[in-house]
Amino acid sequence: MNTAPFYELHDRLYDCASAGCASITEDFRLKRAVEGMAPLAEANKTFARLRDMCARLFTEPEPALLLADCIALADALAVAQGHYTNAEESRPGTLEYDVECNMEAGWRSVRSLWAAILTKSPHLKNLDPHEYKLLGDPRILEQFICASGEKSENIAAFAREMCAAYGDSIVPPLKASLDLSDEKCPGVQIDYVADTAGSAENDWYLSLAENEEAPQNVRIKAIQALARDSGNAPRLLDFCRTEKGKVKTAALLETARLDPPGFDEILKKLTAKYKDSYLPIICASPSGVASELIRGRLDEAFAADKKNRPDLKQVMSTAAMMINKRDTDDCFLRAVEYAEKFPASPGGASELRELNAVLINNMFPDPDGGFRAMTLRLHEKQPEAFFTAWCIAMLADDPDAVAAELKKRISRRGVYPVFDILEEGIRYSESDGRYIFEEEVPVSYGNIPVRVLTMPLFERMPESFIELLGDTSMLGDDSNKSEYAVRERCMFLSRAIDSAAPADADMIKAQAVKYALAAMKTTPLYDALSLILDNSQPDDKTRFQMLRSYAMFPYNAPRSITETAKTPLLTVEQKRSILKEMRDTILTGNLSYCKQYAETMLKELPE
Amino acid sequence: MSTASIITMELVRSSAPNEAAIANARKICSRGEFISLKKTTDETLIFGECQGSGKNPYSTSADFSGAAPVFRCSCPSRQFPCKHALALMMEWLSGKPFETAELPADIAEKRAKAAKRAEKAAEPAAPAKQNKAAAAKKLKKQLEGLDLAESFVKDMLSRGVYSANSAAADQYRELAKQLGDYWLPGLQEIMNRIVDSVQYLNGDPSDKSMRYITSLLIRLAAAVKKSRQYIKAKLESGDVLPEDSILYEELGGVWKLSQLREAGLYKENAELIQLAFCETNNYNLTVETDNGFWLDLGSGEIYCTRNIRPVKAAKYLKQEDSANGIFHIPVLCRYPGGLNPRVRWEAAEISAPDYSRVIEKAGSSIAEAVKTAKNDLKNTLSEPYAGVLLRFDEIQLADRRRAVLRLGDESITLQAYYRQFPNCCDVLSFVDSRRLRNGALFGLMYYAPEDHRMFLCPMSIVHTDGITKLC
Repeated sequence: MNTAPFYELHDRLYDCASAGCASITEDFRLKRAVEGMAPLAEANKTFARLRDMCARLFTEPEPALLLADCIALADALAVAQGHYTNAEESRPGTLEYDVECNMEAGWRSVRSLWAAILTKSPHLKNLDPHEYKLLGDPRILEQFICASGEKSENIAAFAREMCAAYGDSIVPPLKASLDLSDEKCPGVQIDYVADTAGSAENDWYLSLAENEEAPQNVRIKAIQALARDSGNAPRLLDFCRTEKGKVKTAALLETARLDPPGFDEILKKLTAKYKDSYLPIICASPSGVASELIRGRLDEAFAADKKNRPDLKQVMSTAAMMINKRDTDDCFLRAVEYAEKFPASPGGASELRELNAVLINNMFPDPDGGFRAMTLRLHEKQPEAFFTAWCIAMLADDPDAVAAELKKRISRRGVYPVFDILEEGIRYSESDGRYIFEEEVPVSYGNIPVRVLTMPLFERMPESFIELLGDTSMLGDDSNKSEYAVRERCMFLSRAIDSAAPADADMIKAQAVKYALAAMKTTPLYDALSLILDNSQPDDKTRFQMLRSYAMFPYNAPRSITETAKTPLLTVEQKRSILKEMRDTILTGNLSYCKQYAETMLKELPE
Repeated sequence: MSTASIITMELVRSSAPNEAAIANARKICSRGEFISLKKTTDETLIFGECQGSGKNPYSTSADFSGAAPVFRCSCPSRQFPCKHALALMMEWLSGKPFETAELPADIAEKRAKAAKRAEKAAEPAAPAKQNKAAAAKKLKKQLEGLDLAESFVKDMLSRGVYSANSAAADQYRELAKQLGDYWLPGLQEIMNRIVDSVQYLNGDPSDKSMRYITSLLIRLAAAVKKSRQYIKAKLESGDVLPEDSILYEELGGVWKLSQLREAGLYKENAELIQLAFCETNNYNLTVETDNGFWLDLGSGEIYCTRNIRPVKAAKYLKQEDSANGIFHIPVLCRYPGGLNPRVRWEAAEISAPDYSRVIEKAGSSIAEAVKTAKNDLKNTLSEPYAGVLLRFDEIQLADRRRAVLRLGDESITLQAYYRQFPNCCDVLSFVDSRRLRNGALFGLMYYAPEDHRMFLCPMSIVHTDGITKLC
């Protein structure tokens, strides 16, 4: 049966509702559609009923409700006529994976992770333990694949977890998700594929890199993926020679890292017409050609007269070039000499920091120990200048020597960034069963990728280091100057307790409390107070005295008023006496605006 | 009676009213806000004092002496259980030391009262008196309101949906407000949807929007017509109390469980298993609904559950979550309705799931399933989708948006039902292909007018070893 007249009538009825049925008598299209229903009406009673109802629309004085009935009937007939035969070409699914999945996980748990992916939430960097069992859920996989093209740190962190869980089986959907029709496609999926499948997907990377129609970012990512396998160096050299613009720059940078035979000639051309945009390429290359460029630039810097002397940025960009270069002791020493001779900051501190950062980065990884040996040689000649890099080089082998040298310099700690690097970088790793060093030491110039530098350390914290934690020699009498330092130190000690090996925790706590007790005498900040209360059991009298010192330190107001009134560690009488003392002594002058608040808190204290 | 040993993270999660409450409870634990943590010797009660933002610490407890845990807290939060009670359970889970203490007097008193209440509840309740005069008066008032709604339909269809502008929409909204005075919240809701849609399309009336508004008008017209017949028949017969008709709810009536039981709309000793669960929003995001689809393992019928939460109060209402296992329900109350009636129950015992029983109940003919669904979908007042459970030999992928379910010589296209539910069809491409063979699929069958076709929106795939949820 040809049902086309019915669908024509169905559409006309809806059109009539849209246009209004006040002038329905003039709707010749509807009239024609009703007439067209004749063959269907003859064949079927319900179609006949619909046709008759629709015919009445032209004679009814108020056809609105009849029109509604006609549409309702037509809708029901349309449903009855609806077919379900499919014409789609289909193929069996091919995706297979064996990922542990909690099929009984609640919808809300899944939805919460799903929403985190959708919004690229920072939570993706730190999943809850139960969420690892949701990674195998197809709803999560689908949402991740949808989001995998987004350039986001949080998505990248989540991608690492997903790739680890799925292994190679995640590669096909990741590859399929790359949208080559989007000019701005960042192509980050290529990174994930390269992380997971490595050189097994070389043909795919190559096809993308060679595809001139592909978005630029995709080609760049494909070149970066190719560069992970040194066997691709000849193809990369071709890209260096034939490509233009950003794709060529990416090829140059990646090939520089691999340093294949034949690249020196390209590098020579670059150094001959040096431009600042070549800096990352020179930095990446371990070639002697690059070392010669550094020497030449340092010579120029020394030879320049006062008017043409290079500024700090230029000198530092030369220092950054020393990354990945072996046997460049002379360059480092000359750079130090330059910093001492023409310091841009007191003591040339920032220049030295950059040089040390380069040396430290060079040591990760250092399979033959060549860079470590260079660091030790440099330290022998310039112990103060290369102290930071020396500490990192010696940390695993002789931590006591490092601690002893740190202790000597503790009063000048601001000059040596190693204090910050070690405080941030040393932590106990449960999985390794020992302390590890894990830290980023960025090199400021040269657009050098920031890496997390890691190395295994000792199983137990050396006593010399524990002793250093409690060192109070930095605490001065002038509390105004030490507030920032005390707070920073307390935060560090608190972190140190959290990241300590279980066997060391008590000793570290003791050192932290020792430091905090000393700090309470000069700078009774909340951070020091909470270190003591969280990690020791002071008697009632000591506790009262500390809480009083904290409250009476003007820097802590007005927070100290609330803390004093609310703390469960004081009796009502003690709270009252401290608050009164505060009101009468420290809440004056600049702090007089807090007086009323103290009064209110006093009134709110129970009798 | 159980003890605090039953506390698991899953219990904390399922007790929490929402995800935010769990996050806040975590903060309480990490900040160490509990001043004291105590338990009774038999560990049926854990309690503690938590330093909150109030002047005095809050007394929080979790009592496991009854059939279900009871949470109590002196904080002013309207959430139940509050973040402090959740945090108390988390502290227990984290292994923090709980000091042994005597059962507090106030808790002992509350336990005694609860026991008395339970005894009273066990006694057979006297049937509630129904005020027939008031019900008849209400029906008469509703009849007047139907005239108002009908005049709205007439006006819209006479002038044409296309000509409706925002000025007219304001007048119609006033009219919709008046419907509230006539005890017709169901029709009022449809009318508000129409008015909102008219305002939304102002200036850019697409064919799709016009069709949508027209279909709402047709639904309203049908509801008015059928309701008028229903009310008149009730007034004439004198039986003015609610009965087995979807019109009672369509008019805005709210069924009580006792009313459903009295109307004979219940089933004893039912066994249900959940096939799918998801949260949806209404058209203007003012209402969130937790939708559950359940299979009756006895009759093979598919039911739905709905937990409707106004967004404004969502924070204070418990969100439902998906459920696993077989629910053994002594009294299952069933709303009037077509293929997938709504159900509710007061108590259930849960046992381990048995998905082979689900597969046994799955239909083995697509034609039969389509026919059954069409019969339901033809009714203007029924939902625009019908839940069906079908066996399949294989599900094949057509493109990102569609797939094909094959069963013997038959096949049907799978496509998302965009209007209301999440796009589950996309997820199919990411299901392990081994799970796309020889199982059962639960989905929502619907009619797509633009294609003149029936589609199935996949919601979950069932195998004997478990259920793969797609939404």
